[in-house]
Amino acid sequence: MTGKRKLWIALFITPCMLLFGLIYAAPIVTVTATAFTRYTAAARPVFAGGENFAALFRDKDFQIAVKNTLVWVLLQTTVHVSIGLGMALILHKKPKGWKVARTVYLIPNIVPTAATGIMFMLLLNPQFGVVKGLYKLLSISGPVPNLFGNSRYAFVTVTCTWLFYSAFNTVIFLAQLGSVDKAIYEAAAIDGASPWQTDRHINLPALRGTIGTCVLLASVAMVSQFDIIYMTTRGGPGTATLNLPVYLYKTMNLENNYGKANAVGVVQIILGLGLAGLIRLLFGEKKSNRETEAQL
Amino acid sequence: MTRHKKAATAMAAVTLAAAMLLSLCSCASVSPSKQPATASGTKDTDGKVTLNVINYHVGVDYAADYYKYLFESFLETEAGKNVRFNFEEIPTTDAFNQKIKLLISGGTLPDIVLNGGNNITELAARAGKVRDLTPYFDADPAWRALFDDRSIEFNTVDGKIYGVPVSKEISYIYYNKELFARAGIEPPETAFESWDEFFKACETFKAAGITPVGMDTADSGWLSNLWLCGLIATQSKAGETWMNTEFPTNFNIPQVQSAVAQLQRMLSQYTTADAVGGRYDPMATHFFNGEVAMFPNGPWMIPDFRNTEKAPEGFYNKVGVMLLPGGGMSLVPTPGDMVGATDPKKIEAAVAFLKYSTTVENQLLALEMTGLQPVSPHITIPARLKNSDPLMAKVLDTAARAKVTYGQNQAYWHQNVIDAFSTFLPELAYFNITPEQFCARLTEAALKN
Repeated sequence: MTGKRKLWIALFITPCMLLFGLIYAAPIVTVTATAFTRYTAAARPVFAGGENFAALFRDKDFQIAVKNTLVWVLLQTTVHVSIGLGMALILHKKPKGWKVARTVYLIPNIVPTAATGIMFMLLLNPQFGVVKGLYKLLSISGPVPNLFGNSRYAFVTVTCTWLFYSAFNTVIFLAQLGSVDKAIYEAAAIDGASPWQTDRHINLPALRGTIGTCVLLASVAMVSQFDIIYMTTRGGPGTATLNLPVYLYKTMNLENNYGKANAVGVVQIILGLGLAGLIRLLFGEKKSNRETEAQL
Repeated sequence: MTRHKKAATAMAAVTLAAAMLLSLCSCASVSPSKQPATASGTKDTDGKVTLNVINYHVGVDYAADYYKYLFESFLETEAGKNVRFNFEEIPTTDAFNQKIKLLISGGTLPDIVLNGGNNITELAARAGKVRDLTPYFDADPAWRALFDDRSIEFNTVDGKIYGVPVSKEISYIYYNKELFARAGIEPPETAFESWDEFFKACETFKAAGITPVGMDTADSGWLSNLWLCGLIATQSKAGETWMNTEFPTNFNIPQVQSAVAQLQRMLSQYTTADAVGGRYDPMATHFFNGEVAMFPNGPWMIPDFRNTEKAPEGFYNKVGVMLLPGGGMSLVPTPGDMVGATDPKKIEAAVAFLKYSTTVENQLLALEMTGLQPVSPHITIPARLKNSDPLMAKVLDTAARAKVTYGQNQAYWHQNVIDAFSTFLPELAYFNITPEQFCARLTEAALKN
């Protein structure tokens, strides 16, 4: 590599590195350092060892928040990504009306999450929402279920506000499918492969790396999911929809306990990194990278 | 690649890199016109003192017009003629409180710190971010005489006064006269004698197909909180004393547990289906639409009764006022506005503004424009109010007949306890937890502080 080329690379990388350092790296260092302090809105940080972490792991609400977060990660990485994948495989075959279907499926992803939250709150309102209308239409007697208000349904209801809208993944999968050599499909067709066999033996192997990427993105999104939960249930009823970001927000904003909130942040970062490592392991990214490098 | 193409690529690359660097630099600089309201400084070149204010009484806030008037008219007074304001506007009390808390923790507070509650007075005082106003009260006995001891005590931390209260907060019950007539219930002159009588009326409403009460659980569960506070305070002297205690940490007491059991009954039997998980605004709409007979709230709601964007034409005349059963009314001093300035000239100017905001004239104007109750106990309410706002006059008349006055959770409970109250109310409403478990949850939250 020439010195001139190195200079260009350095020129482009420096602002990014500075931005990363200021916006991400420095706060991560601060968060980690203050997680080991007694730090409130009214007092400067004082070193307290692992006090905040001990308090966290004793708190049963924190345990529920971790559990809920992990369940959402699991649902998002399996159901959500699978829906996006299924949709991409269907759209890739370009059935009648595929363009309309693709556009319609994208719509929920362009609506701001705050608006989505309010929309669902109104739609599912037990006093005047669609569920009440359905009950009336189907002549079902008994009280209309309060889907956001009752902890029996709240977790599933909140999950349904995002689980099925996987257009982002669909777009990524479609882009990858578009790069598969057409000759392979032609050869498969000549050999008499069925659509399922084409998916099973050509498309899915071609999408392996992309599935890994989508799973990674889905899990990271769930570790930091906040807005729609805050807009609809604020982690309630009780602790039914409490997750780590909402727990962190409440610790910081309602208990004014910044040290403990930062300890939650550290747990969140570790959880995110752990999940990323696990996903890399599951999808054999290292191995496939090595294989690619060897081929090159 | 040709020489020209290479040059063009290099130019584009340099431009792009420069743009990235510039965007990085822009993160760190703020143009003078966009200076935040927390910036400090002394006198400007024209000799005027600039006071930085973060104002949340903006937009659709019930007191936006009044505060606009207050800031503008202060500049025309002798004390304010050499002052100018630099405003930063943050709509909603919630966002405002978050910003102030962050500034308490790691920034500079504005010169005048409006108080949005959330226990900000104590946090700011303990962090040393606001000034002790005791000497100013001591130096002006006429000003000090405007406030009762309770209001001053409420704004005192470690023996020093930090906040200047501008009003008192009361709440009681509004009722729909038409719905009472339809159910064949004669509304009491001042209040139902007892909760038994109140619940009997609720049954009558239910039998007539009318929803008896407005309640909510989301955000802070404001309406349910008002019912609960009344239920606790009016049942016994012990309950009244407990409801006048700031920041309680033990909710596992019989008075609270029995009141929570009654609240559970109300949530499960006497309110709208969307009350559980519902926010204040849709519940208020139910009342405006004549779907709910009784609705607890304070005087700040009165302007809404006349606002045809919120309530139907003529709704104002359908509304009556009563106290909570047993003659109960919540009455709390408000957390007062504070001085965050450090420069002596700015402190003087900020105190002058706070004094101006509590003159008898301005307290009366606040009452008429926003429903804020005067903080001074001995202010004579002008007769003109009876003609211009008969419902407000009725409120003042009814409030004077309260037998039991008490605090309410937004003023007296820790923030995380209010949150636990709100998030566990649905569990209570659906009998997923018992009143005792509910109280244990509140205690657990209170002990985290």
